[in-house]
Amino acid sequence: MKVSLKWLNEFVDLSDVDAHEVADQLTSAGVEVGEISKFKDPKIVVGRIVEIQEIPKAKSVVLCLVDVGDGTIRNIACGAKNMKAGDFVPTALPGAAPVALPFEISERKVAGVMSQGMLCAKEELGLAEKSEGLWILPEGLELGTPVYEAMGLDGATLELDLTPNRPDCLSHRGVGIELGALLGKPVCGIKSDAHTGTGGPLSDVASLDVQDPGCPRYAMAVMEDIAVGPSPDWLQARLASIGSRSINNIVDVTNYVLMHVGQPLHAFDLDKLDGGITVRRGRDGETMVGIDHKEYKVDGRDLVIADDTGPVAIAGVMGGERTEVTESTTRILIECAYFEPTLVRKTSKRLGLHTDSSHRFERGIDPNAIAENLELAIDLVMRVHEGSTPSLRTGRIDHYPKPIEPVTVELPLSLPKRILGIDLSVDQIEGYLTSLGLDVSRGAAALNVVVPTRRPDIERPIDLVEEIVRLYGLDNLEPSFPEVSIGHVHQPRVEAGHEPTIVPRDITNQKRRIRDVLLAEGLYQAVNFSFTSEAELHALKLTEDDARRFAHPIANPVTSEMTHMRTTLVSGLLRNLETNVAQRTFDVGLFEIGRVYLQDGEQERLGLLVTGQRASHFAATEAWSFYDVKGLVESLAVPFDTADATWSVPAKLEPYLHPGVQANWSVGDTWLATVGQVHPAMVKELDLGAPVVLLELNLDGLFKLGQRQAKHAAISKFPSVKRDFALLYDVTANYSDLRSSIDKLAKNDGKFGRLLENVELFDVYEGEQVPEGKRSLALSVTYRSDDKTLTDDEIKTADAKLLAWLEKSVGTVQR
Amino acid sequence: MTTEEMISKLDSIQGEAVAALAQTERVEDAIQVKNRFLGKKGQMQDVMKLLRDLPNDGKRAVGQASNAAKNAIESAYLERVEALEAAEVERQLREETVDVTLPGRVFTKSNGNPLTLMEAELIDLFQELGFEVADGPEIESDFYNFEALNFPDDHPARDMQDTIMLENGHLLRTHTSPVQVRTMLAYELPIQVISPGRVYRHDFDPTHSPVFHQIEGLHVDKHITMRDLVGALKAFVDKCFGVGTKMRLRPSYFPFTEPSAEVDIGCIFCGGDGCKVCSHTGWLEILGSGMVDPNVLRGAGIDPEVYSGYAFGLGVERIAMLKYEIPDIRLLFDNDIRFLRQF
Repeated sequence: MKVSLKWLNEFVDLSDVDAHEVADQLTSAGVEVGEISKFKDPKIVVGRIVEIQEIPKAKSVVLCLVDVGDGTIRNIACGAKNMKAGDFVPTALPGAAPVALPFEISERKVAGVMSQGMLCAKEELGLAEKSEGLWILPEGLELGTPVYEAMGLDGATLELDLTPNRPDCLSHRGVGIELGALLGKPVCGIKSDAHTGTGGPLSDVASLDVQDPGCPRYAMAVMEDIAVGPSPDWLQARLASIGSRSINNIVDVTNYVLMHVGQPLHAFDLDKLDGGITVRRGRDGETMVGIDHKEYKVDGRDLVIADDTGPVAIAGVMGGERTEVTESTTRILIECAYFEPTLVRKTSKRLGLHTDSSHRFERGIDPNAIAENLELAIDLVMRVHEGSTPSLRTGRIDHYPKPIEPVTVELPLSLPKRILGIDLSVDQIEGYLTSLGLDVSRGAAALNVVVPTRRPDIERPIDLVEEIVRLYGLDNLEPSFPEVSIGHVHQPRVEAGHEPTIVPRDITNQKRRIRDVLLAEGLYQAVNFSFTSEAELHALKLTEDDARRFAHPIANPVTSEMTHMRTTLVSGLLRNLETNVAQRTFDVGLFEIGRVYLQDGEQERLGLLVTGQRASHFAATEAWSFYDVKGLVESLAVPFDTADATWSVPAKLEPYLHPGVQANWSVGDTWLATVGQVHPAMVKELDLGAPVVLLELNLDGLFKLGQRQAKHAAISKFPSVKRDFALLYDVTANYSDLRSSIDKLAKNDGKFGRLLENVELFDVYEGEQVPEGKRSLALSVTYRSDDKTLTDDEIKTADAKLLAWLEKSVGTVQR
Repeated sequence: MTTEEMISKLDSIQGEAVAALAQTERVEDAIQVKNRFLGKKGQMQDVMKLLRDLPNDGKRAVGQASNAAKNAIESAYLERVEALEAAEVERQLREETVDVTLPGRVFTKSNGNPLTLMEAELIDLFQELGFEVADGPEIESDFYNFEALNFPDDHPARDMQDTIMLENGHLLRTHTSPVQVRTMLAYELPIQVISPGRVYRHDFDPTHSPVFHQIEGLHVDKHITMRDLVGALKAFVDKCFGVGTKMRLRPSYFPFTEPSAEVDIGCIFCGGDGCKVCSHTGWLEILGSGMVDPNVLRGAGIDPEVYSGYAFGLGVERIAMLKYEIPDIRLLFDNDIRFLRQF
């Protein structure tokens, strides 16, 4: 909301305070000032048109001879039609920069004649959104004075960023009261003349039937002999100063009252009203065309103002077109009411219709200022008539069956100290509260504070503490440091039943270790949004029944790429790959640590994608492979108890991975990870030459395995013996079967088991000299005894046992 | 052969051997030469076979001469080998010399993502101040995200946080405050936790992201005052932005705290003189804070007449963008390697 300093000056004397001081004071009290703006341009001055001449051959432009009081008459070309010789007009001289124009004014040729400036419309000066013709200024202004100054528009305007708890500051009066308290200055009341009316009784022409408690107060007045027309200059200037457009005198009065005291008003054209006013709920099937020419459906959830034909206004939100004040209007009914905030808010939200009026009603206006505000409106309507006087019907209707009483809050004297940690005297506390217009009386251990209804945010003692500290100054609170309790550990509540939230330090550290390992390996850490979309899941070729397609669709997605919560980290990483490939980056190594959102809960995962060169160096390059990533998983798993974890070919293959290059890592029924090469068809779509390897790892599952409990085993003093074997093995058979077969032998045959120290695979070869359908595995087997040096015989026996066992169990043949 | 002849023969063998050794270019050649003269079937041995025909005094003289010759050859050999080995090392050094200014072979390319780096730094900082980390779900119920935090139903305060809703009626938490509620419900007092994590708002432009990261702090105990909040904030500002960084508190409004305060720091770019980053105000808004509202405490089963607490919350992206001078929040989520490699 914008407030003008000149306007505020009507409520509190700001003549000796500069705009920045006002802004600082307000900001430090919680009424944040976003921007201070000022209309200022010394090159746009008051000029008088001395004569208007035709320009030969120019149809749409005339030449104005303009006097700006400096002794020279300037020739200025002008395309407007509404001026005549003798008019006072805003004249932009060379060097001027009218705010709404993208260029600076200079002398230039227009229609063949040299134009020495420009005559301006309000629109160009930033005073109206749209205007027709030049702004004709009041006669008699001093020629040559800057126009903004001459018209009283040179004061500063403050843009306020208000929090929703301060509806009282949604008007100049409210901000004035706040400033009065901050600056220690008296605040003036509303200045308006009282009118009792000279016309007949209001009850002859209007009636009110309030049928719903959603309208606690509804007041009205009727005025006749209205002449709708332009507003007087002072009113136009006022509205212009806060960026509001002048429409006509009656509408301007309602807008003025809104900005002046924060009361939304509505003026109906009485002649267009069909019968009396009824305040009721909307009925099914009812519609109303608003003054924005749009049709709105209302129903039982909405409060409407209706006549005998139907709704004429949606209460507190918008008036209707049918009874709108127009230039032909001569009789008006002014509504000044208080509607239930929640009701207005619900309707405004549902209709997507947020107006200046609904903004105030839903935050809460002062129900006890209605009568006074209605009188202000009447007085203003009188004042915006020049040359004629409207006639006011005697009497008002003011429906207010259950007056809303000011709240009395009891403030324990100990509370400010307990919450703020500062010692304040009772006098100080009382001083702060009374300066805000609260009525304070002293009790034994408490203050009784009567809060005016314009401050609906103050209901409880703690709310008063906030007011106190606002005025005390938050920056005057000296920092303090509570005594440190060494080794505090959060203890679950005895009667709990709530999920724990404290994250063991160990988990935080493990996650960091994983991050550090992967960074050291040359990967970059990615952070993706938690969203995915049907299209992305579709691109992964997930089957129709895959649970990852259904979990958590979003009701109001931000964009069409964010329609679902992600159920895999893979789609985000593939998206990142595309981004990078589009930038001609073909060596990509990314990982992300983040959650996926499954039907049965959220799960922390590690996702990883690599393609291209792992390290690029003039001496040697190294391409990423499936085994690098599988190895990374094993590196990451070192601290954990993975004794029971096994690698296997997935029972259900991932459709987005190469069917022959994917592996699952799991322990029992718990899935831990999937590593695989992206399906060649997808790689081809990305136009990538190199394979892409993906990993997705269940971090929660990994952490749940617990730490590997390391235990020292004595190192044998006796020498080891290393034996190398080349074994022919089926290409289609799994190495893991061979490896676990050796373990089985070691387990079952105690003598062999005691000798076997280590088995290492050091080469895998297919091709020449190896029969079709076979591959050659080179194993290095280490034997060692704990209590003696092994003899040749013992070694040969062990070899024979091993080879025979492998031949029998997995069909290997020694080469 | 006479004694004299033999001595002269030995003399010439010695001469020949020394000359031959001097000719050698490789250690293996020198060994061969040495063996040719001193080996079992070497020339020296051939001459010495004739020794037995000499008289005794001749034997003694020749023996002495032969020892002298052997020693001379031996030392000529050793000298040559040493020279050859030295030359070999020289050659190796010459040949193996590399351009040490060529680049090293690097695997690690980045120190981390700016966002997670910043988050880790902040978590460490608050852990040092005595806060434990707490965590909770991102898909939340209206109760934990709003109701328990004193957001009345259909109150304009709800507009402050534009919410992303799921089709099943749940919502994506708009702040990590639900974790505070869950923590208060699950643990005995005192409570001193931070809750870092992802939060969601229905907003997407250069300064707003639908997903962003928050760290919120909560401290509830007997005798906690707003001055303690100022103390915690000051410690945070000093640690994060440097000792002596200016800080100011402005009253503000959050439904879950009362009194509430926005916290600004003196602009770290212009030192408070006013620049583009701080919109010429000299101040940068960095976090929101306040005293936990009695309604929130009561809702968590805590007696506000006995206990009080403070809470604060900051956006990790905001701090990271300030610290690394990142102009557009969306850069943080593009995962373009040209961006990531800068950190």
